[in-house]
Amino acid sequence: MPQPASSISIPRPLDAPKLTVGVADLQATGDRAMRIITHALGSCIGVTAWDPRTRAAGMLHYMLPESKVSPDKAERQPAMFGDLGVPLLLERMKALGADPKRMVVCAAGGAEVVADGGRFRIGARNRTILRKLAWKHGLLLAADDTGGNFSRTLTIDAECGTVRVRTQGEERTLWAA
Amino acid sequence: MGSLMDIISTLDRLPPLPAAATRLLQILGGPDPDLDEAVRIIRTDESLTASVLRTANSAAFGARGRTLDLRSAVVRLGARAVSHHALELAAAPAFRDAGSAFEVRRGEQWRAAIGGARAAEELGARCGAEPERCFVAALLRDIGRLAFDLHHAKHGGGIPRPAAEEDFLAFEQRTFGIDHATLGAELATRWGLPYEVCTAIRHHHHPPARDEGGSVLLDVVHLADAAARFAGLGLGCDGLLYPVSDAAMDRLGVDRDDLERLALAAAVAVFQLEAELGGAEGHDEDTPPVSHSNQIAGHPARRTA
Repeated sequence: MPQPASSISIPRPLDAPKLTVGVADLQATGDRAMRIITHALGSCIGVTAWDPRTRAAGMLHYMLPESKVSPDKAERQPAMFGDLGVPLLLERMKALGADPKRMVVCAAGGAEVVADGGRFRIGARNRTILRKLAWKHGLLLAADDTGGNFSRTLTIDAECGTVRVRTQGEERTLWAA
Repeated sequence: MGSLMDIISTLDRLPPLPAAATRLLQILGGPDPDLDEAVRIIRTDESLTASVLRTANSAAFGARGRTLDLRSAVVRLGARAVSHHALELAAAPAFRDAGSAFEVRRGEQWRAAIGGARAAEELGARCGAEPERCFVAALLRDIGRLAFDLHHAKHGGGIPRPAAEEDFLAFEQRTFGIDHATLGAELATRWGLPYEVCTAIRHHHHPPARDEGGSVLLDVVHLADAAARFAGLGLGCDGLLYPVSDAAMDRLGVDRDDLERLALAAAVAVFQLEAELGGAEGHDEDTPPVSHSNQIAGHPARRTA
């Protein structure tokens, strides 16, 4: 469910350079001038990570919670799955000098199919795997905007760590320092 | 906002598909599709042939040597793969801007069409349905959105918003008096496509039971659409506001894991086609192709400014 976010937000010019994260994709950058964005988060989940000291920022967009559903695809495209993608995001952040203890992690997406009588619950299972992995790796999930039936766009600003979510034509700040 | 008749009349203003594409759809969507005839039709269209050869020669497609002519491409890839590639490429111009009335990003409707079509082909083959017909029906399942796009372009105004938990087809009917599935079936009929394909388009969100006119084809196209949506393809302000039919899953013997694997297949099909096309098809500056920095070698992350 949406969490209360700080009202502080540092606006960035819309033409700031950006990295786009596709479905089943992962990006991390040490370039603090960069924004990272991902679109069309339906039942998929977007995870942002940011280190306030190094200003390293990363984002993962995974489709499904567990790789066991398709080990061959998991081998080729680990970022498709939460159980492989989240550790991969941490590795990439650490390679950029980020410390998991300082890291601010946020999430968006995890929507459900309307009238899902409990058969799929892909969104819920995607949310659950993220919480399990956060606990396992000692990460603090600072804010999340998940659930519902709508798709979302997620952005993170490497300079200030501000995380924004856009859904149904409206954008809000999910987390800001 | 315009009347129901305005929306229906937009069907007459939609540009026709290229003749070769229409003929391909008719052949592949019909009973006992003649793949040799499909290849002959591709050969009559110079730009389509060039596009097919381009993908056939791409590294991502696994070609080891260059394929210089269509005959070699058919030998190497098979008539079915060549025909389906031709349709995917022929459909790209029609779908490039589709979905704008409901905030689907540019190029995304084409990606959803491809992902759904490949998923339907795979599921159809498994369930005893004609794979070509499943492919064609799923490829075209959302063409009705083109009418809403033209209507919105003419009348302007804000993007209408569905309520949470509202079936999006019901929202379309409430707002416009008609839904995109019905419009799509009407358009497909005007294009002369086979009746079964038109019916699959009409019912792709709510496949009826067998004793109410349902069929394996209708269930396949419905579940392929759901799989594409789970892969994040073609999402606009409609999000996940389409129910997935438990009854269709039961009829086809498809469980949750099957559907998830189908979603993965849909996503991978789109990734591969984009890699074959160099990631250029159907995207604008704000909607770059998937970057797959961790997946497809030689397909670097895209940085925009």
